[in-house]
Amino acid sequence: MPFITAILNQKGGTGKTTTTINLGAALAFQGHRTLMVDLDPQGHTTIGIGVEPESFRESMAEVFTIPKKNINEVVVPTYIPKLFVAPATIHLAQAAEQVYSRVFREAILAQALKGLDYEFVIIDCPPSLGVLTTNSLYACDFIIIPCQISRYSLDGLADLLTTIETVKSLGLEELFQGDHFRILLTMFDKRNRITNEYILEQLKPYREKTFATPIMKNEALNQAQIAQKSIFDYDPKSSGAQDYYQMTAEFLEIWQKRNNLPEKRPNLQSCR
Amino acid sequence: MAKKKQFAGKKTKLAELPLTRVLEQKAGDEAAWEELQTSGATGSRQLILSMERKEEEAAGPLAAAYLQVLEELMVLQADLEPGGEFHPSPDLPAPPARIPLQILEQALRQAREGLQDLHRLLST
Repeated sequence: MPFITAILNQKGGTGKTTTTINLGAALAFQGHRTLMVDLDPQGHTTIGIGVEPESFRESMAEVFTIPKKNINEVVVPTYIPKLFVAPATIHLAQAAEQVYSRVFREAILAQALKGLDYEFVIIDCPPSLGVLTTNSLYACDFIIIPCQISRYSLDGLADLLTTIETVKSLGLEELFQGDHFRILLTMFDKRNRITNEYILEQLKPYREKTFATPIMKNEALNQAQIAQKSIFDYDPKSSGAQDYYQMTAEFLEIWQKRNNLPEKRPNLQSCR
Repeated sequence: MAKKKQFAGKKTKLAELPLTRVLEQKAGDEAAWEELQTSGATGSRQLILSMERKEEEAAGPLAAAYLQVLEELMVLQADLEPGGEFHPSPDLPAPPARIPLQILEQALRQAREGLQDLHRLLST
């Protein structure tokens, strides 16, 4: 059974796609067979990992519109061994409109992910709280919430936690005590001292639910998008690569604990 | 006006979320318990509230802390009296876990002294 993780925040530009690609790449470099599911009609995970829209016939739009369509039928390999992507195009937006009339529409993705031969599935969610996002919430075992250091991100986080509570049918205590989610601070800039101080104070109650590694603002991460590569390939010595490596190590610790596996620190060298 | 001072009283949705309140209360209970244990071990008396805090215009937290001390005092008294029972107000945080008698007596002394200090602070 794969460990299904949704990368989720209804606010745009928080680093969902960057996190999906680099977490996916890091896991694959560590030897884990990993599938990235692009659930954003903008298709940025697909493009960002170097899969061009002309190279595939079917995508996540078909998974959502053709009943009982298995996700394996649309999966394509990436340039990284052991890393695969279920691609998305703009047609996914129309497909999402169509599923509103279907029964059990929140369970379409969960159904399509059944019986997959991967260790990890990472879902890149769209920047909204619509049917695609509720599908990923319904299907996932774990949620990563990339969060920028800004006031509006905090408000978005509040809405998101309320949605998670509702869709996962969790009580407040259960939401916190169970290992259901982690906040990932992204685009962190040490120079913004006053803002950082305020936002971190607001996030204090969530300290245990926040990755210890913040992803620092790093130009190499933007450049890797243009190069359509993971940060480990584009600039393995950059702070972005180091941050995503550390974050992946934390993620693997959570996974090991959840599955009662012996703790094993991943090897930095295997991320190129 | 200093930039930071303009943040005063600005609430975010996150701060008002019931989950955040639950977590804050939990953290508060743990901190109070740890502080009690530390002061019990060293024998030193620590007053959480200070003149600095008052000068920082922390009137809200000061009042809340005052209420908290009162409530804890009543809980401790109820614990000391055989058959004593205390029902906290639903608006106030739940009392910490059961406390050993020795620490309890010390806590009562501290609370009394704290209340006296607090009274002095508030009347200046």
